[in-house]
Amino acid sequence: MPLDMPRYLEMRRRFLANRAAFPVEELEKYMGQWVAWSPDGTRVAANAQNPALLDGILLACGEDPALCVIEGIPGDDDLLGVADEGGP
Amino acid sequence: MKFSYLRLPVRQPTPALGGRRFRYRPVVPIQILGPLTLPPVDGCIDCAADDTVFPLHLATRLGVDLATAPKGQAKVVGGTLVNVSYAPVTLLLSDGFEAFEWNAVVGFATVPLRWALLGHAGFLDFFDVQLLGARREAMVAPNTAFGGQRIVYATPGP
Repeated sequence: MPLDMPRYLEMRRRFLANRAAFPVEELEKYMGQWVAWSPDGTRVAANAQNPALLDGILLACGEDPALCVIEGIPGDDDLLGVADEGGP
Repeated sequence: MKFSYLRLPVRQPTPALGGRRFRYRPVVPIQILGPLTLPPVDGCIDCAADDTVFPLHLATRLGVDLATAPKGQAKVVGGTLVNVSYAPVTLLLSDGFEAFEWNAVVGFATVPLRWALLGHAGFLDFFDVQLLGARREAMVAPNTAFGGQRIVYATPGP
């Protein structure tokens, strides 16, 4: 699906500015989990132990999964995560 | 393009950082374009990674058939060799003021990864990167090997 580039860039600009200001103390809650950021980067829209579960949670919350940046928040394992094998 | 480092929590105070309980990393959102709209994922700019490698769960969503994809090994963090299946994709990176779209052969790691690794093949070969430690910013600019498309939308402020 072609992107609406002006809209995409505006959203990305807002996302990066807001996420950079997101409190790291708040992010601690999600250590060791996968998160999907809200499109504007102001909040964690969904979190799960397995990234394959994020889409369903986002849809249930009324969010568009295609707009939410996915990230694994390191836990004790740092780079290597868990529950990513196999995929959905 | 300019990207602020991402602050990520750590469980234990970090002696090397005066006991701080977070670290900064040059993590940027990157998107794989295709017939299906996939969510952007965070990727860590990683000069120790041979290849650009994505988490495995994206391959399934992209419809990449890992059973028939070319296989190989790539060095990632700490020189660890991981098994990777390769596929050609189109990538999109943007700081919100401009965007770059390019084709690359990337890997999908058979070990779980928290982030995509933006390594030499597929990323650092095409972009010159400056990591500005004091400012906690990564500056990313296409180099002469970049063969993709640049889209300018707005001019960033100072």
